[in-house]
Amino acid sequence: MRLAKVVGNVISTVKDDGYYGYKLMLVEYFDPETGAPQGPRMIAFDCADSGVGDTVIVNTDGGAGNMLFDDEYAIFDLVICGVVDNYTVDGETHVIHGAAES
Amino acid sequence: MYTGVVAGSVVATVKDPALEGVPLLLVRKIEDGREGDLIIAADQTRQAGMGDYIYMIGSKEAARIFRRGNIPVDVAIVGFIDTYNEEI
Repeated sequence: MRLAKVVGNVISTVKDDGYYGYKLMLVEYFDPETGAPQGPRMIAFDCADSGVGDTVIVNTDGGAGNMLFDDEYAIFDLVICGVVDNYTVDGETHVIHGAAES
Repeated sequence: MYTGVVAGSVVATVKDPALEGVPLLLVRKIEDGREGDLIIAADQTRQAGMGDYIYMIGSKEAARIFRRGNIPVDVAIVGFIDTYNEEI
């Protein structure tokens, strides 16, 4: 899984028939230590009701997508499976939502 | 899934028999607005044409998306982009 930022969304009406009903978001990985964006922006299915600007957990395995959505027919790639409140790297806590645990 | 634009097509009569009936298109990857390299993608939607903005799925998922066993493709076009909102 990777930490990523939701930077937008994608609307697509003509697509694989397994994908109807799922929200497509634009995500961008970033380096947790520096926060610098990494790699190209990619499309991910949203399974955590994330919105633009959220820091999220992206699961990169298709099989996990089938489990997350409990849907065996659709073939998933990247799936947003969590919205991050804060994360800690080398003792430094990055707070996104709410107060960090003391 | 990553994005691209259809730039051409590829016809190969001598190929793996499992690839029979699988349309092969030349897609130019688009990464952060910059045009990337041209790759061959199998068109699972069977509707992609020149200049269409599409998104693709890769590796094992591309092989599974045809839903008739594993087709030996590594990239498959799975949908068309109507609106691409980049808010940040």
